[in-house]
Amino acid sequence: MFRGRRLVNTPLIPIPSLGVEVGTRLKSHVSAIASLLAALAGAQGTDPGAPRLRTETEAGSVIWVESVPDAKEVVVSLWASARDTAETPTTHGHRHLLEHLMAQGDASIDRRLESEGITLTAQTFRFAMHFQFRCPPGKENRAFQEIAPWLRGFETTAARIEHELRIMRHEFALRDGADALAAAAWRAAFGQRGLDAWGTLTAMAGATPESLKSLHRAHFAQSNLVVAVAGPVDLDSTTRQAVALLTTAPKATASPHREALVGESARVEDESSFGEARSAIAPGFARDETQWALAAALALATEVPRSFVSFVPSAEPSLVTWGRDDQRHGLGTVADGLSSNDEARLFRIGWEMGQAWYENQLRSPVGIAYLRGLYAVQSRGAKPEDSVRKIQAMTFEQFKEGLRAFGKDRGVTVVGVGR
Amino acid sequence: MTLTNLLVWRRCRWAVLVPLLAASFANVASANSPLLEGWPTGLEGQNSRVRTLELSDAGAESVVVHAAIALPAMSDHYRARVEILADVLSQGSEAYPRLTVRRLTGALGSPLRGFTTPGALHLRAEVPVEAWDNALAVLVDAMRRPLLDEAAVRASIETRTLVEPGEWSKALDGLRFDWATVQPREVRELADAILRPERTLVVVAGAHEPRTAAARVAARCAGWVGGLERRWTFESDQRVWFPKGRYVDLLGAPIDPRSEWPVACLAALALGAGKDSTVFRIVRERHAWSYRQEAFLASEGQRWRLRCLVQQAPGSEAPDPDALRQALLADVAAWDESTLARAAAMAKLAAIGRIPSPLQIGTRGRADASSLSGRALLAALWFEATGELWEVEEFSRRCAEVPLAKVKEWATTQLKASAGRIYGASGTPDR
Repeated sequence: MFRGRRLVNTPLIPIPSLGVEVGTRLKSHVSAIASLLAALAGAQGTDPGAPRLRTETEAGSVIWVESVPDAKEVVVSLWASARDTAETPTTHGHRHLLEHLMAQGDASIDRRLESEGITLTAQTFRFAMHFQFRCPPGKENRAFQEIAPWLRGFETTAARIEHELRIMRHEFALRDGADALAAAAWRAAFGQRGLDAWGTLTAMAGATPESLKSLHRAHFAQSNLVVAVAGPVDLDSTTRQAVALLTTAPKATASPHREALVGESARVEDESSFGEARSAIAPGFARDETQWALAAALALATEVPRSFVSFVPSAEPSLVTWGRDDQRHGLGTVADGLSSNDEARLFRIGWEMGQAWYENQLRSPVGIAYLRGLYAVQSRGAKPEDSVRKIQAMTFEQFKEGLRAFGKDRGVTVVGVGR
Repeated sequence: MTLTNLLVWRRCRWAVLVPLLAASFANVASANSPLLEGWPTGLEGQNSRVRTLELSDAGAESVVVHAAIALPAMSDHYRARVEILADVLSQGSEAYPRLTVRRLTGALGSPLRGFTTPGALHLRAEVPVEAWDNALAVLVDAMRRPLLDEAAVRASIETRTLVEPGEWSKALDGLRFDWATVQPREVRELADAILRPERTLVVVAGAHEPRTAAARVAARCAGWVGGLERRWTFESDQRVWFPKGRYVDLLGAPIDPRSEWPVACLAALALGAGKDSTVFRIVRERHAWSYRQEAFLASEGQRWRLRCLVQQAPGSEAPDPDALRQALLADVAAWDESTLARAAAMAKLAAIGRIPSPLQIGTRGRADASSLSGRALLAALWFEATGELWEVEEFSRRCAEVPLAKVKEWATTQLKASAGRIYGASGTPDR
């Protein structure tokens, strides 16, 4: 038995599937209660019949386990919140460096995993670090085994740091165009608080084995951790394993107080990128306006071939960016020149694509583990389904408000003049 | 016909994603007639020679209609015209004006669009299940009766002049076309000559009713006659893009995928797939030569080449191609059964779309089985290159059967024979 306090998530399970799909599958009373609650609530679901369990430990870790019986893989995501490790210009990029060094593990981790059909990837976000294991069914234990030493502690050497910085020098020199445009928009909108997750080589060169060890301890404290698992798994036993794993991480220290982010409209020319981007300032995933902006961006992107949308759901204010990195003309003409007919046509597209953006991810284990972990690591009770509902309820007027958020007077315009 | 028999026979072994293929010749009797070289097909009573691949996936929630039109051998001068043609084919046809095309194919945000890969021109739309037959009608009409409106062609040319490809695309294929020289008349001539039923492979993939695609395609293509064949050899000076970084590039000799694909794929996966691949371990982790390095099979239509490409920050001075080649060869010599087991595991993942396939298609990235549209494209490319159907179990099984000695020998031979070059920031301007 684990000592954690079990909470029941309200799963989104349509009534018709309850008896057939869920009732025969669940072994846990708690899960059955969850299903019952859902049935009583009569909620509409995006993933019919998927039983899931959210557990919060006494130390504040969150474990999400979702059963996807027919899936051909199990995805284990480890998320570590950066709420205690906000970067400053002098430490900008230390988290990125730590991610690189952790993912290397010992020299043979990738041979061990890949030989068993398991892949490991790592990402650093402004608000968290993310490690993702994609495993054949039944091999999720291997992910837990590889995560365990990461939670116990972190050791490195000055030589390894120096070697990794030599690799990262190449990464920084040739940064992806879309990414550079989005980063420029963040700097323009949020100033120093908009520091990206990449960092600078200069700041990273100041990292030492001791400073990274200290950073790791704060970053991977139990209260910052979320494990999200999705695939053909047993909810109870998988949850027990995850709880046992997370209790080996260090205890948390007090989180420093942080001022809320405030974004400002801006127009900038950026020499580190090429292309153009329009960003809407989104107040956070709990607010309706964020979802309107996402729907608007996805609809606008269908108007301009080869344009991209960059958005990571964030509890704090953030940006929804629509851009292109192959030329620096054209987006403004579209965004600022929409007729009422265009808006009406785009509304339908945005309404459908906005929901599909979430729902498509929630159909696969990789998307489920990603989105559930991403929401939980920022706000323990938050769920992507809440965002879907906001788009479902979006009216035409609200969608137009989303479109206007990309206007030159409301949003952030970046013209990449580099190359 | 041999082709039909082969495909029908293979169909028996498909399990999960039941791909059905009908080698659909709308008028089989006349399809067996010898072609009159230099004359348009469709004479002598033929009404369609379009082939159809059907990938039936009951779990999908959409249908992809995809046409792959094999391009004749042509100089780079004409490739620019093909790119423009790809842009404007979706801009309306005689039966379906532009806005109707958008309305009938745009519901899922993937309306009819054209693009190119080495050796082929593609048109594709992804639509709700109930809309697939209408989308097919739009697709076929775009090939048979495209408007190729002069304003649309000029708009495409103007847009293309403003487009600058990304850094990695410049490294993969640095040709910088002179768009300003493209004339709308040339694009129309090109369309007349290359949009031909016998060059066309239509793929219908998704949750449509199984075994219906071939008949629908044949009906839509009935009476389609291509224009005159011609040669495409005019040469004009082509400029190149210069990427910002330094690139070290090893390019192997052309191979015939029909006879070599299992060993070629397995070797490419051992060299380039995953973080325990040779290029990741040796080029990145051991020598810190780069952050991004790839090894793959570059598709050139019906032939492939092994290519290893290392991207470096400007100002990097090492390695030169020979040092890179020697470093890779030394690792290949040390490959053992665990290397092979890992590569075979990667092949399984590539087959189901968990990782990209080893097949690089121009600057579009790797062929990728993770999405329905990706599977449709992969099916078309794979069929044209290997003469076989892309099939998950078959790909994994054939890769797993290749013995270690053969993989090592193949990779060693290819690397030793590879041409090396440096280009970009501190390299030579010669591509």
